[in-house]
Amino acid sequence: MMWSEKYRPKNFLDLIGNEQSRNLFVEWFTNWKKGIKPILLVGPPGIGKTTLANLAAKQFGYDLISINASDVRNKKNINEILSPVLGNQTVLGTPMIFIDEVDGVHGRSDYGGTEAIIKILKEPTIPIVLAANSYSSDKMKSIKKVVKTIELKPLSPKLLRLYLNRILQLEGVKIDSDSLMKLVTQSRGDIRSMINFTQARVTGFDPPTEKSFESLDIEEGVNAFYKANSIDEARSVLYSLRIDPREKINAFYSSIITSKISVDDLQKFLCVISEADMLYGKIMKTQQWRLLRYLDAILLGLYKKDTSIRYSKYNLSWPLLNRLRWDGAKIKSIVASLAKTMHVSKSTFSTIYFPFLLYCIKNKKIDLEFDESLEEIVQKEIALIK
Amino acid sequence: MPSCRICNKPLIWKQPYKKGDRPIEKDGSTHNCSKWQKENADLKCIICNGSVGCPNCEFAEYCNPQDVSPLCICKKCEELEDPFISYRKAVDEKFPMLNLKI
Repeated sequence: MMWSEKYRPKNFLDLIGNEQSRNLFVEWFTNWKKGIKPILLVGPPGIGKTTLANLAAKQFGYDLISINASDVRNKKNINEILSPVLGNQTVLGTPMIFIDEVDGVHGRSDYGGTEAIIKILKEPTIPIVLAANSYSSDKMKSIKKVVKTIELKPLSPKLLRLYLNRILQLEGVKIDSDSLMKLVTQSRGDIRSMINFTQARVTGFDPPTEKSFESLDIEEGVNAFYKANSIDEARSVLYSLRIDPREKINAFYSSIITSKISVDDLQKFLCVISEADMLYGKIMKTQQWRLLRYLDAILLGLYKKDTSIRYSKYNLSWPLLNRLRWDGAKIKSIVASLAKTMHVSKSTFSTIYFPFLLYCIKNKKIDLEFDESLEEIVQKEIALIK
Repeated sequence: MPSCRICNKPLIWKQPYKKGDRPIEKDGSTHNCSKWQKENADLKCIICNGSVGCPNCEFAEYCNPQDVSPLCICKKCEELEDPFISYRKAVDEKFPMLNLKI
């Protein structure tokens, strides 16, 4: 189990640092009544803003409705999500709203969302808590006017060390003072990342001493992952691979498909890759970057002890690469023009219509005239039909 | 004429003045109030209320007292038998509202 989950604070006293800010927050909840200004928690990531909101809901008995900046980009969305909550409290128990990363929607991506939020913030009928990493943008300035702001600052390294020592004591493990110092200072006040890195450090994976966690490159990372002796060690390697998530998924994908492994393993690993890819797609589509924290947990499904998989980048055969690159482009152009004629999307045409079309051409039911170069591709595709 | 609210040093307005500008020194530089910096250079220990001794702290290189959570823990209190329990006790005493029982 992740330590950051295991030691997640159960009450306000379990948190560490920002004591005065925490006190102000609890005071605000204790005295809350209709019309009181909503609260804005401002502070860097991993400091406990979301935890504070969750604890408040739990301790004061509210039904937490948690939404993210990506849900509040446009006015229509906000009204759809929040109007039922604000208007009919009896159906939804005693709701409270938590809007996370409210500073996350920038410039052109905001389709009237900020204005709609401000309108709601001006006349609150239920407790509303907002969280942001900073309040320097113009949009935040206008939000700041209608809320009470509580600033949460990064923790001093000494407090971080105090907290970390407590966790290590409870886990019954010891870390030498140099490594402890490194873990504390590298976290830069971010409690969550400090706990994650410490768990990675003590569960077997010994990171290279001269290199920082960030500098473990992709090849070393993938190889260390598959050479790991236990799942805990593999997890540690995954956490230390702090690279672009797309690059991470691609690296595992190309390593897996080019390795000689059993069909069952290949099927299992490709399912995991597909799950990771869907998560990344969802993140990109909705911009809910907080979901990224689940990526490594999914990719951990790719671990198997004593497997022959090693890092490999695009080690596909030249004929296959050539076909993907050149023939693929030509097929795309055929699909694009025919999809338009059939009034369907390119993806629908290529997956459903195109194979039927090839059959029809093969069986001489349809006679289509293509350019010479495209005709060649169509004939190639027909030849591949079994 | 504007002046610093902490050390009372006379300052001037930037010319041309724009809404939101802060008063500056007579030579045009930003006023870095030494009194404020002195007052905020050291954090307070939450357990014993004493000074933490930031300038001599082993983390001085990595920590700016003005940018971190204002209460810390001094070296003496860190050497107590169970510093974390002492920390929790101190928070409980100083901020009883946090020990909420509903």
